[in-house]
Amino acid sequence: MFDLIFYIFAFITVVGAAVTAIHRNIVYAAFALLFTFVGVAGLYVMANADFLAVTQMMVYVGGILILLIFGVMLTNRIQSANIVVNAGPKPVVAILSLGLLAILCAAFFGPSATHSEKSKDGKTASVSSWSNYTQQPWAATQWNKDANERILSEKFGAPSEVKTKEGSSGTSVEIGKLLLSDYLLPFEIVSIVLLVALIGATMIARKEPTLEEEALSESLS
Amino acid sequence: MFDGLRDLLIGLLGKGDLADVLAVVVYCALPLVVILLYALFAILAEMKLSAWLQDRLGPMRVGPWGILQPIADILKLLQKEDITPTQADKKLYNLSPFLVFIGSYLGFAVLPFSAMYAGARLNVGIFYLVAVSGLVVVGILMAGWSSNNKYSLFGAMRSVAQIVSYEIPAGLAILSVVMIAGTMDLQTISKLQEGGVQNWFIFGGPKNLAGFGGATAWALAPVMMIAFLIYFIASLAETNRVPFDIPEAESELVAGYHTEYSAMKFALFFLAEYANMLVVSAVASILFLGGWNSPFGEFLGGPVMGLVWFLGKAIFFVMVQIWIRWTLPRLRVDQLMHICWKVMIPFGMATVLLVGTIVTWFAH
Amino acid sequence: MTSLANYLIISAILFSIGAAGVLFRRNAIIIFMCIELMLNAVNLTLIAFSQFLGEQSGQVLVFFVMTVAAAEAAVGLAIVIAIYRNKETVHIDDLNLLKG
Repeated sequence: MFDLIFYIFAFITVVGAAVTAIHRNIVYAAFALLFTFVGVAGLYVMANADFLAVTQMMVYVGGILILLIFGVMLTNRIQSANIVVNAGPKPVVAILSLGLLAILCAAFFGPSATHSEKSKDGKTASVSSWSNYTQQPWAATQWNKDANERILSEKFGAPSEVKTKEGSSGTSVEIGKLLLSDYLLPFEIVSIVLLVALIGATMIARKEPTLEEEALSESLS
Repeated sequence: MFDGLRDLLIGLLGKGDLADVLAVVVYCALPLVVILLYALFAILAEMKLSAWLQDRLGPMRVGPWGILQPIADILKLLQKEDITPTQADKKLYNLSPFLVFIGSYLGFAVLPFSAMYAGARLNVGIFYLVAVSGLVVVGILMAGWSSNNKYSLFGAMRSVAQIVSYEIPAGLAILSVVMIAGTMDLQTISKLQEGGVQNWFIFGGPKNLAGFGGATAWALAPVMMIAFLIYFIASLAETNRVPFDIPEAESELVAGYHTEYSAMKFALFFLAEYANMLVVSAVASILFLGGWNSPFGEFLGGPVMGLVWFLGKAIFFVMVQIWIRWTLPRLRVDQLMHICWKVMIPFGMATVLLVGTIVTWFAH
Repeated sequence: MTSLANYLIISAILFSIGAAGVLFRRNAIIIFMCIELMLNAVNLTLIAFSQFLGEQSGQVLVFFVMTVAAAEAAVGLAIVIAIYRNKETVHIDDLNLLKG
């Protein structure tokens, strides 16, 4: 059951991505991106990253996607619902991207991955074969502990007694602690980046007022 | 409650995957029953309240005092022709009503209807609820775009700009509650406010938490009242209700993003809109007014009465929304943005800052 | 059972699709979308490894990637709109002022 859900999300993600990259209609490409983002959020949930799954929905679906769709609408003359751009799979691109896929898979699972990963990461060094190790189910996931029973009772079911304060907190508490301790400086810098991006985007995208408009606004104020 | 349901189904169907799957489906469909019944009630209330506010009688023909009018309306919607404009983008046009409804129904997954029932008890509950409304926004954009109608497109763009802007003050108001509660799980937030009206977050939250005494909580009360006001105003804007109904301004835009829709697809938009009103009202009552808790402590408490209290509080706010709709005029777009960015966001930030300061200074 | 390998394969596919899109699409906004796809692929890898190693730092990194992606989308789209205002197109082959 759980595998099935995983594969459904994986399917949604990949098909959405493919439509985004291939479809001739920009609007379809933009809306296909919705499915990719939702699918990726689902995959995050399957990997126990609940906080980031919700953040993904918030930032990507609620923010970036809407921005992109507005961008599509603002940079095309809206005469008909069909905005078609030239595109058609070119063989060179297909070969290049398949080559990239092959390289990535080789890097992840190939024979050389065993050595390079071993030397970099202490935790995997103890494992005899990296590629065998990656095939194993998650080591410490809670999902696998008697999957059906536990999930049915805890995820879908109502709790028999409600805990306060010290109830299970998922990853959000952990991430919050890390953000305000080990990663405090990057956190602050990122907030400044956001502020700068906000001001910069407004400055770049706003219409330069013509002289008449300036005079008008001055006379109004 | 889920276990009970599952046992019942296992008793009926025998042990197996079928009973499990069916139990999950039935359990997930329970809020749908609530939405449908509530929608019938809300449609009638909207008609009757507007009539009374304008010194009319409202619908009187169907049933005694017209109480069967919503059923007649739904039957009418069901038999209408399902029209798709020839120049519309068929696929997106047909997909968007479902997306909008799914977006608002997803929110019900985390609402604790009573101490016994909460669809899913996520520890990121309220954050999830804010995030899934993004799906509604995408659905609205899709509807406006695919209708290939300028009124729809303008309505959709206005609606999206408004929802996205007003998510910020709403989020700030929610944040001040989350800071006091120390959790985002809605069931826990409800549980924290047990024991009477003084423990509700609008009055500063529970007075008996360890290391967080009564005086501190009372000091939070005025700030939380402002936070509640901010949330309530923002929720009006997020559901496109008057005075923020610029996206649907019938005198300029016909009906906004669902101008072209008819029959069941229109009904889905309509249902989603009413469901959204219920979600924001329910969130207001959970975060600030104790959710399923009785205002009298133990008296009139318990899981069943909890459902009554919860729905009562939520529907009270829906009624307030209707009352406001028939009382206030519509804002202009510039006034809308002015209120959001120059009034509510500064106040929201001040609220977050004050609550944060009080909580960190006095908590230890 | 879902394993690290499944996640890595999906993220590799996602990354390749994104890269292919960047290479063969000629509309600036679609190129943006494909860049977002590639960022998502990387995030997926980070989350998979974070779960695999039982460490939350990877998730914090994903959080930062998302923030930067949001900033990037805002500024990038602002630039695209400014370009559209000047040249009436967002077709990247037409943006060749520097070719002389």
